[in-house]
Amino acid sequence: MLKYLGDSGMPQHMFTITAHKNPLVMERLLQVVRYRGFTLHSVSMFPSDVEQEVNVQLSVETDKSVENLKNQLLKIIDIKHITVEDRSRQKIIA
Amino acid sequence: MTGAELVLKVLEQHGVDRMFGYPGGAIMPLYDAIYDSPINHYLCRHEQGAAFSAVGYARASKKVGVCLATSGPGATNLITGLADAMSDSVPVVAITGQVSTKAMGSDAFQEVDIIGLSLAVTKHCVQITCVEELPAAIEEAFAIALSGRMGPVLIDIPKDIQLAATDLDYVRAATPANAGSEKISHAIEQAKELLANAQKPILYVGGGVGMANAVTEVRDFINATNIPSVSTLKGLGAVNPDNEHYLGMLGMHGTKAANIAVQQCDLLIAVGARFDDRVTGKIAEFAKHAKVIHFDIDQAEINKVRVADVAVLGNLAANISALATQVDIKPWQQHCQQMAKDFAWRYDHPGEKIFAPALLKTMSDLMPNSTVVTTDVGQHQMWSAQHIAIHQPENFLSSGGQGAMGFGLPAAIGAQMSRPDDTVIAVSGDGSFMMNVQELGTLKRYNIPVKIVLIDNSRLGMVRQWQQLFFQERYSETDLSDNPDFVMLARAFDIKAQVITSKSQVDDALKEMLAHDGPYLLQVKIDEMDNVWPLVPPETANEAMLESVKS
Ligand SMILES: Cc1ncc(C[n+]2csc(CCOP(=O)(O)OP(=O)(O)O)c2C)c(N)n1
Ligand SMILES: [Mg+2]
Repeated sequence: MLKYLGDSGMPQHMFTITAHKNPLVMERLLQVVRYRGFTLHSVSMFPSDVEQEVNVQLSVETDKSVENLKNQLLKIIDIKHITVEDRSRQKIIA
Repeated sequence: MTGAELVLKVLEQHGVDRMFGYPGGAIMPLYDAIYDSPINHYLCRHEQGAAFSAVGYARASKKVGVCLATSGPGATNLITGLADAMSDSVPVVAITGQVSTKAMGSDAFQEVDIIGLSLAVTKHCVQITCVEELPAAIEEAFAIALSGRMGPVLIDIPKDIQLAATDLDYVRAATPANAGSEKISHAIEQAKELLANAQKPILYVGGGVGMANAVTEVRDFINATNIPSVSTLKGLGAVNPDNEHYLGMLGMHGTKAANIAVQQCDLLIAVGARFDDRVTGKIAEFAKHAKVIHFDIDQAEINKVRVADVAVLGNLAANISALATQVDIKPWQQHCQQMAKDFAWRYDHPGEKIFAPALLKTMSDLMPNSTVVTTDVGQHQMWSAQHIAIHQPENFLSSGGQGAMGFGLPAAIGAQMSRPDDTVIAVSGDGSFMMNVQELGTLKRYNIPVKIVLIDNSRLGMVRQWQQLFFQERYSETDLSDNPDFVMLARAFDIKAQVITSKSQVDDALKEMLAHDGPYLLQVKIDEMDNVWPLVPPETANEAMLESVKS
């Protein structure tokens, strides 16, 4: 389902996000990604097994610091947890 | 009880005794409940005024400021105030009415997606979907507004929920005391080592110091180390202005001594500051030779603009106390002190016209140290920051991050409501003043004794100065020589007013203003070509400042 193209030559980073189930959270998340100057590559939201939680997978291609983006995203009150993975080293063409 | 009554009950139990707002259709049930509530509501004359008053109230008192507006245009009018609170980390709770749940999403009369609009300018926002959610949502709003890096929270309440009957009662749970002091972390040990090895350290003090209630600890640290210090616009008042190693404000309109010292330092200790572009000038050139220690409460500020050699997150008061260590920096201290002496402000000024820096310095000498000064935005704002001695951060309120014109008067109103016994002075400009001039109506209505010092250059002075310096003197749309008669305008609101035009009038006029019981407007005519110096041109290294006595 996810395509790790990475053709821009910039590293691709996958954010796996656990968030409180609130319809606003996706809106805010995408807003922060854009405002902080990152280009969205893919995004999906999934229901979680845990009640009142959703999981979001989101990837960006960038040579900027993803640690900075992660810290900005963590300020969204409804976001509980984020892990970031560098996908450029394990490029898969779907 | 109705939802509206429940809202007020919860607010009351959170210690809210004053709030600022403006009624309208979708928030009428709440206003109906306000009619019987012990909370004092102040009717502002524009929702932007209400938001800025809530900001002024919060910043001067360190409590949460509350503002209210109806749906649609009432809510959109709050946005600028919320953006200001977001940029300057001010705890504000905004409550908006919304059209009834059934009408939502139908482009109903005065319906606007205020949640969508406020996402980017609030720390958090929430729309209530049933009356039972109200107590927890308000409680959470206060907790979020006050926690960590503070900020504004918006609660949008549909009209039917304000009207809904509920048997929910509300008693605020006792909050557990914050126990346990934080351990001195590895980071502080590293920071200590950097400090011990530094020859030329500087303390760079930001607005976070006041907000973290760390003024005493930062001053203790300064006294223990005698480290030279500089301040941002929002940090003013954190360092004792009489400290012999204090160099004043840094940045675009900072003092020459502060800017040069920062450019020369080998260790920059940032406390509650965020390397704003108005502070750093060209970032690649900023404090180029310095290692950086960054103390902050917000993880996202670390490495955002300048990479820190050591970052210390968390409770500033505890962390800065733990940093104190023996330093041996005599030559550096002497060098900084010499610069402060050599580049001290000069108040001699030829001619009979009033020199705004000298007037503000005189005002500073005459006013009590506990005075709250608010400013608008422009040249008068920078002159205020440069020439008024501020003794506590909560005594200087200026729109820092946003630089929002129209802030001064309503913020002063909020500050005066929170500190009725202190003198409150709004230093405004003839351009900015007109942006929320309607709040003179609020002054009159409640006889709020705010003093307004209107620095009148008949210009959008700061923009005019830039046009002169960077746009070949093409003065596009900055001439305000057709201003209204401000004295007559104030008198129309029953506010005592006077205009002065010459140096010889300054002393008496300021004394009369400060001695006056009620609100007062002092219009100060100055030369339209007066400029703010020094000035670091945008995208330029801070040592390359422009200076001139007169344009
Ligand atoms: C809401 C808003 N609009 C525009 C600006 C841009 N701006 C910055 S300073 C300034 C001039 C302010 O004029 P005045 O209040 O008379 O102050 P002065 O510089 O003359 O002292 C303007 C237009 C702003 N900061 N805020
Ligand atoms: Mg002006």
